[in-house]
Amino acid sequence: MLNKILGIASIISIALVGYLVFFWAPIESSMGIVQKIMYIHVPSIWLTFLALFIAFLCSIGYLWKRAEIYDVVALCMVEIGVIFCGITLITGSIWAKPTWNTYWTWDARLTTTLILFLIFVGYLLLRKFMDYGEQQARFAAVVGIIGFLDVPLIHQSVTWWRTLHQPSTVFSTKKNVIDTPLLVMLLLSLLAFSFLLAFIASKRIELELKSRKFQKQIANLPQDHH
Amino acid sequence: MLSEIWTIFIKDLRLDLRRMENFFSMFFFSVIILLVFAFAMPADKDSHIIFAPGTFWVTFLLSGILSLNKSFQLEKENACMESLLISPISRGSIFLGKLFGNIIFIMIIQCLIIPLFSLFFYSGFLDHFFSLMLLSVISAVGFSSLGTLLSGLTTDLRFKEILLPILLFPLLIPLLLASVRIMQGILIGEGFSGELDWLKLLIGFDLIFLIISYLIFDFVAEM
Amino acid sequence: MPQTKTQVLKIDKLSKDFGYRQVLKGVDMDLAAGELTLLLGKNGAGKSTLMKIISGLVLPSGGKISFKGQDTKKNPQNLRKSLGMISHQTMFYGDLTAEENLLFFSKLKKVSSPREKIEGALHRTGLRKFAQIPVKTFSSGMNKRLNIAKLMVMDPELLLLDEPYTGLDYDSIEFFNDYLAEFKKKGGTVLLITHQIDISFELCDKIAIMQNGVAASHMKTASYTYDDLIEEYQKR
Repeated sequence: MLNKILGIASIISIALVGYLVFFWAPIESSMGIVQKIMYIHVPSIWLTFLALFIAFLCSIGYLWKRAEIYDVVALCMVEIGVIFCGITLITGSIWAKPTWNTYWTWDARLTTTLILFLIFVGYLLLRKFMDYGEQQARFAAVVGIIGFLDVPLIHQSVTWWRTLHQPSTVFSTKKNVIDTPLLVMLLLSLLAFSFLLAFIASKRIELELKSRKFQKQIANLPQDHH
Repeated sequence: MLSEIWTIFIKDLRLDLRRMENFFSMFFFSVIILLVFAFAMPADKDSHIIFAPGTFWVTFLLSGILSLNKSFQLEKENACMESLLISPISRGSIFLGKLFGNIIFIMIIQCLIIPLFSLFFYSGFLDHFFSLMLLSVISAVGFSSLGTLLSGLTTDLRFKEILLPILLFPLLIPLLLASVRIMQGILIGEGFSGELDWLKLLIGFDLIFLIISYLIFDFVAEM
Repeated sequence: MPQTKTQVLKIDKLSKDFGYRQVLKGVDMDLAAGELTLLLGKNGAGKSTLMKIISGLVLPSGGKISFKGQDTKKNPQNLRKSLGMISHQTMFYGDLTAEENLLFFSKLKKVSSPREKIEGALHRTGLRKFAQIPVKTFSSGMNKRLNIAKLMVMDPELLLLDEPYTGLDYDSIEFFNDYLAEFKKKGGTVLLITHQIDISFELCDKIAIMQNGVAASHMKTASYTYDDLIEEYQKR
């Protein structure tokens, strides 16, 4: 039921936001039409952090309580986080090309996002290299916790690393020229994407729970020995 | 507690001494990496100075991985780890014993690599031997803390040789950046005072991951 | 006559999942001081898993183990202090000598005056002249004897033995059984997994047969013979 409501809500809100982005929101003066990708880019990175933060809490929860549901939620949140992180990187590159005339620049935020992406791809690889079980959940939780805790340190170090090489003039002016319709639009699309996140998460968690239950039933079928 | 850590540390050291092939393979691996860098880099002295810190720390990371891989390999043979785990000691002691073993092993390699480095690339290197050794110790603490935790985690897995660097290297980026930057400061004669912020970051990294890895190792040590 | 003995280890509704499969479904067991329990079952029935769970190497998915009335989850050190174990693997460092291995583990256990005890144990197990040789050169029988020497040095109260007889020659089996008898007399508790039922039948006080992840122990009464056991085992 909740699933359905979330699904309908995300479809309607994304359609609405799609309409508003192109027919209501003004075209930003300095960057032009390409600025509209921001309505995907910015919510994506926020939701990446949200998903990975939930995964972090669930990882702690798993090690503490050892209840499988924490593991399921952590896994699904990392998967979603990695997807949104990938969207952030791709939309970031598309945006970067007309704005800074390059697809990739070693900007602090971009670099941190890339490292974040790599850490949690590592998390998913670790899970792939292990068989399902309590140990898989435990090890993944360990990586989920240290991976998330490392993010502030990575961001700090990458920021210092860049600022000493070249002053980031482009980035400093970017943020303070945001006018009200743009901000409203951004918050609206964030809301729409949050619905989408909640919908995908609830579907994915349901699917994972069903799949595990099914696998357990198969594995524990009464067998005829010899 | 301290005596347990010491006992495990001494045992690891003794095993390393009996198995010098571990040490030699790690040392020659480092030498070969240096050689590869020497071929890959422009041959003039100026670019050697520019590339020296990066080259040095990449060598550190790659050879350090070997040290980590062997650390728990020794325990897995004959299921010694089980024997260790049913002993009435805390998992934290096992972690710290292994951690110190790894740090010492890395330091011995560094001791040999620094002179070699100055020979191959940049002769000014040797003037700062003690500063560089001190920096290596500080970096080795953070490297080994996370590394010991993660190698404990990957020892039993398929493709562990590839999985360990995949998990470890992204997490180590603050440490790598800080070490490179502090080393640049040392090489231009500023010592540690030139890059105090980076030093603080590096020490902070060490402390955070030393404590977290120590606390979380309990969960890695279960079977 | 069965008398009431002090309970040492109590296993309550123990279950364990490995991957998707439930390996242990409900194991209840009661081990008392001075008793040897024989744990039987087909390969893959979950016997070794049970041993690992009791020793604390593997955490159970459900159920409870208490050692001397204390939950082992809450206080694992208490059990580890009194635990001795022999498993399929040698559990010694191949590059260290027999003596160094024993010294290392006795230091971790804080055994008092370890050197004399090690000397004595190596002597009793006939390994004295091999004391200074790296363990990796040992035969499997010598490894087993070194494990027995380790038990003698550690002086545990609870023994978990997983196939301890494999690789032992006839004399050593005799010797090991004498050790177990003596151990029982001192009030020690033993859980023994073996396929060589004939060797250990004399010694055992309780029998547990594990099947499909379920096991429960019963006493070996005076009238219960070796043939009764074989019959009971094969009926499963």
